[in-house]
Amino acid sequence: MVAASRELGNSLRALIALSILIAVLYPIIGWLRPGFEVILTYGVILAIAALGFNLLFGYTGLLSFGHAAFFGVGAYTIGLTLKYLNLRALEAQIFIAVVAALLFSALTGFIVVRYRGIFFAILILVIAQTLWGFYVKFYHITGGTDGIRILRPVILGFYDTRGLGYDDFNMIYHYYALAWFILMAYLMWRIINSPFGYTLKMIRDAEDRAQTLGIDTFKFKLAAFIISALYVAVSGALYAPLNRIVTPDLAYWTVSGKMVFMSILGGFTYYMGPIVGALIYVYFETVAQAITVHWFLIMGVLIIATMVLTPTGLMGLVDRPSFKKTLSLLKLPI
Amino acid sequence: MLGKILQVSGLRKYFGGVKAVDGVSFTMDEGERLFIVGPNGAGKTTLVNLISGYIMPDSGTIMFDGRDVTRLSLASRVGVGIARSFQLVNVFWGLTVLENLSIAVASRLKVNTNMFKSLESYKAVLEEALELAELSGLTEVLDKRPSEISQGDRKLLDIAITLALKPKLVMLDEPTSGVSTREKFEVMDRVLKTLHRFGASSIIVEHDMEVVKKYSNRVLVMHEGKIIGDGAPSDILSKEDVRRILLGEAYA
Repeated sequence: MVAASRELGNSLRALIALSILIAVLYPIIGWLRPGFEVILTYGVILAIAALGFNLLFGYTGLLSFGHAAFFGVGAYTIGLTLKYLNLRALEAQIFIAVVAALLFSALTGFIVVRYRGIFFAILILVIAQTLWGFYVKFYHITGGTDGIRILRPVILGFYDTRGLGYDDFNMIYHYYALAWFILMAYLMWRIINSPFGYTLKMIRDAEDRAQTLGIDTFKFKLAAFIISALYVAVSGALYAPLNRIVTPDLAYWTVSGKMVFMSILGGFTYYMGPIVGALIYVYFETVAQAITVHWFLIMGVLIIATMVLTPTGLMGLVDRPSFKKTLSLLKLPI
Repeated sequence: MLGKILQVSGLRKYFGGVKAVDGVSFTMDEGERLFIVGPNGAGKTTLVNLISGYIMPDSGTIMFDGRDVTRLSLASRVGVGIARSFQLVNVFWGLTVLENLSIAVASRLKVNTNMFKSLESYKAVLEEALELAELSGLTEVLDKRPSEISQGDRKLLDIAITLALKPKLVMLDEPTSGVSTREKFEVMDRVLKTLHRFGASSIIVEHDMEVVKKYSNRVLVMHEGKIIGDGAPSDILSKEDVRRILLGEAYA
């Protein structure tokens, strides 16, 4: 208990330091490389998804290849409530997205968490791809591959962002998304250090042993599945206004793959892992896409290099004794 | 006069043609310590699996603490006070020793569903986990993960996790298997001290005759699914047929 929380990758101080850094970096990057600062916004939004995904992967031991489904539920809730209810109050839309994800994940989770390993992974993938098919085929509802255009939202119940210029909106939305990120990340920190969180870790390490302690592991796995789905849905909902359009590719399996990528890149055994992974991933993806159309190749090399050189991800690298010694010499406040 | 904690009668479990447990009956007094010995395949582990609820018997009854638990699920049996450990160390490898013990205690206290209070902040849990660590001699390695401690300590941790449930009956499947000769008596001393402290009755499956002779006052000998001897080790283990079964023809 004591040892784990002292690790940099599992400390709340690391989250605070990183949040301040993201807040401060935004205008600096905007000044140095105009247009690049939005990478940070995408980063913090996807970090929420990665955090949720990793509650299931890193803490419960269930690897999902279908969490894009919940990202899609989040994004399409924004699109559909706008299109059919003319709703632009973002918090209300996010609330509806959370309820939708709750219902959908409870239903699917009830079936899929009975399975482990590859059976779990494939079953959830099939469900996610079915939902993707729905977005594509039911074009009279979803707009098919043309998607749904997203108007600027009203945030905090009163602030209409419609009149804002491009850069102003991006900046306001950055800090709005950052606030959501801090809230969600803090709640996740509470969850993983709670008895509930430790019970998930027991299931990850030895499910049969957890059962001998009288734990109904099915209920806990289902709860973890639902919570992780809610996180991913919130992320998808926040993603939509920034992306200005929701299309079926937001629910495509490659989005699930990104969450796996982010968790492994950052280090799925660490609380900070998926957060750092998401930020770095978005950065690399943008850079790689700017360099070549074959950017998949660069990302492929990156993930292989991570797995070979540091299987515990970037946070694993950071927690090495030599790195810690350097940090203590620098007297950095983390 | 203490009551009967366990009454097993006519217990039977066949796996296809294999009679793993074939009409086993015995009783145990409260607080009693019972060793089960027998050659490989005698049905010792199957018997433990049946009593702990891992598998259901084909026939027979198990009375525990005055109630029939024959058809009770694994989780319900933990609830009434039956707990076990495994032959192979089965602990939570990703957690530290203290975390292993704390979450086991928290499981018994049924606080697992709390999502927002930190596990560390449960004073009662922490105190009990530290007491268990003290009794099991794990105080020095609290911050270590199971992969970083000795095999003997892992065994002790495994058993301490079981005892965190405060069971009335503890079943230990070969507590000294895989432990070095040097460590095995140390492990047994610790285990029995802790069991005594908790006032639990115990069934211990053991292969090591040195351990059995040193620590038992009642031994059950199993062979081909049946009990072929039950009594004090000095009487039972000196019998000709028991010696032949346990040690093989050459040593009898």
